[in-house]
Amino acid sequence: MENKLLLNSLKKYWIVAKVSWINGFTYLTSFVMFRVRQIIQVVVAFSLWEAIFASTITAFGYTSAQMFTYIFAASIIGYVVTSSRTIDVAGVIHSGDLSLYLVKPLNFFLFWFSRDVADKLQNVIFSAIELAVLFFIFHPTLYIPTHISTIFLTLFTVGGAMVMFFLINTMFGLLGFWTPDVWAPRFLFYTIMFFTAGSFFPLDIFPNSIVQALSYTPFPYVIFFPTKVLLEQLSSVEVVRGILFTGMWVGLCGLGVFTMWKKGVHSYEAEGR
Amino acid sequence: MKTLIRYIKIWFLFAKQELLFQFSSKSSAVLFFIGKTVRFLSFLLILILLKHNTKTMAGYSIDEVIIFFLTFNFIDLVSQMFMRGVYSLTGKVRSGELDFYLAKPVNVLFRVLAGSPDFNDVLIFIPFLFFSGWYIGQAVPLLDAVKIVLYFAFLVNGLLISIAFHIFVACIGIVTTEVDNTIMLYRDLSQMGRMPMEIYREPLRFLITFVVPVGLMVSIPARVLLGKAPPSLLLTASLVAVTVFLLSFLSWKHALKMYTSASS
Repeated sequence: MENKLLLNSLKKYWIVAKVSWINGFTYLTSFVMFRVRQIIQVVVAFSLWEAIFASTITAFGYTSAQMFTYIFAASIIGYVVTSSRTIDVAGVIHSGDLSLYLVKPLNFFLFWFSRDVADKLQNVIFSAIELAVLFFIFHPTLYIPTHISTIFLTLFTVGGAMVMFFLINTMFGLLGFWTPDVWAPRFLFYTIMFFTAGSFFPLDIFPNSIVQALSYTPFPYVIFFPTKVLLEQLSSVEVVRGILFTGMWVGLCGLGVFTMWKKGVHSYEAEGR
Repeated sequence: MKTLIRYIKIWFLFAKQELLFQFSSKSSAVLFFIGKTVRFLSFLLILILLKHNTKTMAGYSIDEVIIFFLTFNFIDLVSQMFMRGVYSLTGKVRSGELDFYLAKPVNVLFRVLAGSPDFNDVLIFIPFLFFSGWYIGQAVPLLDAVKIVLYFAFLVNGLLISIAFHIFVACIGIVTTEVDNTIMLYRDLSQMGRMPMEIYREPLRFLITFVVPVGLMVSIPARVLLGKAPPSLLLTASLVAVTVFLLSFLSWKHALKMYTSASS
């Protein structure tokens, strides 16, 4: 009986993910443009570092091969972690459409997480093709982890980053309970994340004091930390510390989401419907 | 002349409405200002860090690369300030609100492009101008009046290309009812101009110089200032700008004919 309930529940979210997958192709021009944008961003990062290494053997302690490997790996991890549909949550709340979700036999967060999973899968499949093409153009040195445990650790840290990123984005979405202006704080967050998550350059090119300060924020654990784990460039102590910090941020963000949801639903008046 | 004055008056009306709307949420305005400042300063910090770690980039010193970066920001900020309206075109096409624009005695393209100026960019534009002036003044050796005049002339040339691209995006918006990722694609492409074109490999360099000339848009003014723009390049940049500008107007006329007002 319990198994049947669980199966039915999984089926619901599988359908949500399936619909979300189809939605992704609804506006085909936008979809194609988005894919082209992803390629451009990686090309810019590769070109920039290629130009830098044309006049020097090492920069910021990295050789050209190490840097390209980092950017390549960070791009893959970035595609998995940072794709999200939770950007629509605020609109759902503010328009009053949340009422439709509240009366359905669905968990609001699992619904959005299922959509996120579909989005991530779409990103991974298409980016694999794009990155394969870029690989043949730029020839980055591919680093194959020497320990099997690295694969599990990477999957674990990427999983942590995914949950953390989902919770942070959900918190921004839940701001919709109190204000229609959620774009401004989200813009600030994304701007800071662009420079501090490590998607286009490893964060350790910054002075040590900045790296230390950043390590207390959630940003490095989005891309930089999982990428360094994959490339086996961290000591055991650093890996444990990183996992603990990711866990701490998941906990804090989870608490934030829980509190905001509880207070938000309490004050929700279904305005707009 | 009379028409120009009329449109300036109309633009001020739009601007006043937009100013009131954007600053109705002061916290948002502050957050946008902080975000844009962080973005500018962070990129500048990376360039300064590069200066300490490498001597040149594609044949340019890092000081010279910073001039490319500042020039990009000038064109980007001005475009954002005046042509923000394109970003919200999709909604107007899908909802049929564009019908109201068509029925009014104001040029539709003017309304679509310049109807929603972005005042958040004005806040950062002013300190940015002072910083750029100071930096260029101390970083460019042998800065003379000819260079300065040519720099401004090719900034206008770059803005012409930028206007053309915003019109192309608006055309795509009307035909496909999708703008969001197209305008962001334009922004990503234009951001390639933050760096000298020489850092990009062929055929990408050719593509962003002649096919989607975002390279010419930003790099020519900077190269003029650095005395690295031969007359043939200046002539090419001018011809390309005029061509894409005219093409964008033709595309707009064509796109408008394809508008079906389906949602209204």
